[in-house]
Amino acid sequence: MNQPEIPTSVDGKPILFPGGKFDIRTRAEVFLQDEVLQVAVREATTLKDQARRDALEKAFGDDVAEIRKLAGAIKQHTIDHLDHYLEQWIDRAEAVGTRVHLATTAQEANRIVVEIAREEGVRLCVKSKSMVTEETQLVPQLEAAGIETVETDLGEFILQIDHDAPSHIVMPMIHKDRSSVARAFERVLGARYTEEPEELTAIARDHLRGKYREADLGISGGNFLVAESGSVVICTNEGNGRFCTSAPKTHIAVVGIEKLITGFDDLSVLLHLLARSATGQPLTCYTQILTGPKQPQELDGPEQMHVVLVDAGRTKILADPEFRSALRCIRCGACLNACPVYRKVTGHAYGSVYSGPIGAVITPLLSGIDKNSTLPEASSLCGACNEACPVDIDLSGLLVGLRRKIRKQRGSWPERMALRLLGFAFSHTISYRIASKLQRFFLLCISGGSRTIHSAPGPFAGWTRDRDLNLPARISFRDRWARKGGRIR
Amino acid sequence: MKGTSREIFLEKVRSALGRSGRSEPGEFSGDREIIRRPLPQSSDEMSARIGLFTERATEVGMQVELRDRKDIPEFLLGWILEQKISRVLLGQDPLLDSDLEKRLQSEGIDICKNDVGLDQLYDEVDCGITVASAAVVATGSLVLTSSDRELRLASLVPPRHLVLVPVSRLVDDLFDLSREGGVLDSVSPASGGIPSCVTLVTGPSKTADIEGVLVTGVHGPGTVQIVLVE
Repeated sequence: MNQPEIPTSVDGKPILFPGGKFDIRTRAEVFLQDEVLQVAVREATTLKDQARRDALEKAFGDDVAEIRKLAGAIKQHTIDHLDHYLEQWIDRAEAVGTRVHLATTAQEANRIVVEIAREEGVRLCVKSKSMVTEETQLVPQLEAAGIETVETDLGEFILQIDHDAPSHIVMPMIHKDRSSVARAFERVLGARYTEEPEELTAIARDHLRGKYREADLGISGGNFLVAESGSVVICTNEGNGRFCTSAPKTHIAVVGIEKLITGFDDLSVLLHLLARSATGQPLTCYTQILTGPKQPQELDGPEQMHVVLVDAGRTKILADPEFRSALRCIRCGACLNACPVYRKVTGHAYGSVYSGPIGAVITPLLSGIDKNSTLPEASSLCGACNEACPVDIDLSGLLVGLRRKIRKQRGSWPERMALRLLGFAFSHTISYRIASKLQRFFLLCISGGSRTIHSAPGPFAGWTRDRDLNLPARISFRDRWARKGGRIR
Repeated sequence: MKGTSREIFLEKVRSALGRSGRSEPGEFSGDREIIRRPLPQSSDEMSARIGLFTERATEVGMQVELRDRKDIPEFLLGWILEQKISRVLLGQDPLLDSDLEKRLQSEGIDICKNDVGLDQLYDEVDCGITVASAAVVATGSLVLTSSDRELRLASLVPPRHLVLVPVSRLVDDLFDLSREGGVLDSVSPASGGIPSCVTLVTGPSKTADIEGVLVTGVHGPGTVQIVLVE
């Protein structure tokens, strides 16, 4: 079996976690030229965005905005009292026999999982889709420990055998077409070449059924942690999540601490929104509420249930009131589908498991502003993400906040000085009038007689790199108003 | 408990929130039930529920039939023959009684019970037949619970799943599952705790991972037949 080289992305660095400094522009420029990718991503995101609108409108009519505010307040309440609800959840979970482990860092989370697997003598592990384990890069750690680990979500399975990485939170292989799946199945599974999605799905199904039967460990993520009962809630569509949490004798759920909610009433509200926002379904096909391992009288289920609660930078976000609301995110992917920038640059441009507007917010917050300083700039601030978000996160506001933070830390002194001057000029009438006259004169000088400026000189080049600049009107509104006899205060 | 100690971990969360000790949050002040939609006005509440559930469950790709209790064996037999099923897995429930078993056997259908071997379950059973603990009208969902009466795998491994739901178990919304007597009622003393696994099933197993093309029956059952029992 020939293993292909692990592909790197267009900038020669790994697709995700490129390491060092990386510039989203460098990558985006290449993805923008890929016509097949452009069409695929545009169609899929447009469809899902419309499905979301239709589903919410159908279910809640004019109340959608109010309901999104409610859901946002529910998540915010739990986050603002995370210490209390976390403690309550741990107590309740331990009371029903769940073994709870706490991981401060991603590495610690991986270590805990590998250690449990070793203690249980695990040889084969089946895994369902989980963003936090993508974030901690758990699978390579398990493999390094000699534990065969199989992704069982169809999309993630294909990405795993094709050494690729997810590019969307909900539709992980949105960037791949059927022929690449057909080639991967032929090469790695020895399957007959077919491009029929139904046949490809059946090939994966047969292959993975063998794995479920033999696996001695199942790993999942979690969409919600219910403090009232100590439950983990998992929302999936294919059924692989049910296999991973029902068939093997041990189940480990790896879950970020921001997934906490107070109780089942919170859960009811958020379930009504999660799948509708993600895919337009009323609920995902399977919503599992898991509360401890198999009870003595029950016929089947895992003998042991472990939950690894992961911090990995979340308390850093919690500590900054300006950005705390980013922890409300329920990973529905609606902001990706709505975002005109995501649709063009596509997921891998972001260099992180979290792409789109929410990725541009939480990646710098989780793994450092220095390395990811270009991400918050990857937005036109049009606000489509804000309107799509089911938990009412002001994503564009957070992006502006991050830009401010980055400029404060890293902006050069001439730039800071210039912005301060600009701020002064625009807040006083006389200096504003002088400044706008000067601006018009300056723009006329560099326009070379044209109505649009394609490239500005020197330090102003950044303004025209990604867009053209139109000349202002010959006569300013202020002057015209005055000539018509209008009054100016 | 592995990893960071509980106290250090919680302390980190507390200090991030700017607190020095334990805190008691006040009750959440919002009204969660604004999300609940009223049932359409009808003189007969039960038939409104049945109608709406049928509509919602059908929309997500499940089939729904309404039958009298006494007509269950007749319906099951017809459906099983029509689906060309030769081996079924029967859970334990008063609705799945010995009369039904005899009728199925007389038509040459093999019956497996909860002691079915894994090989047989994965390779030979064509259909799992179970009874739902509840069903949710608002979302068209079935509610399955782990128990001493049926296997979790019975509704997952076979390619088809037939579910009986007494109409008295229809609830209006997700909220009602955690109200007194519901399967998620963790508070009232009579509840005796929540089952280890409660699964809401809202449609057959499906994926659209390959170019957005919808395929049903990925890992779980591709056919879900619901029988509402009056």
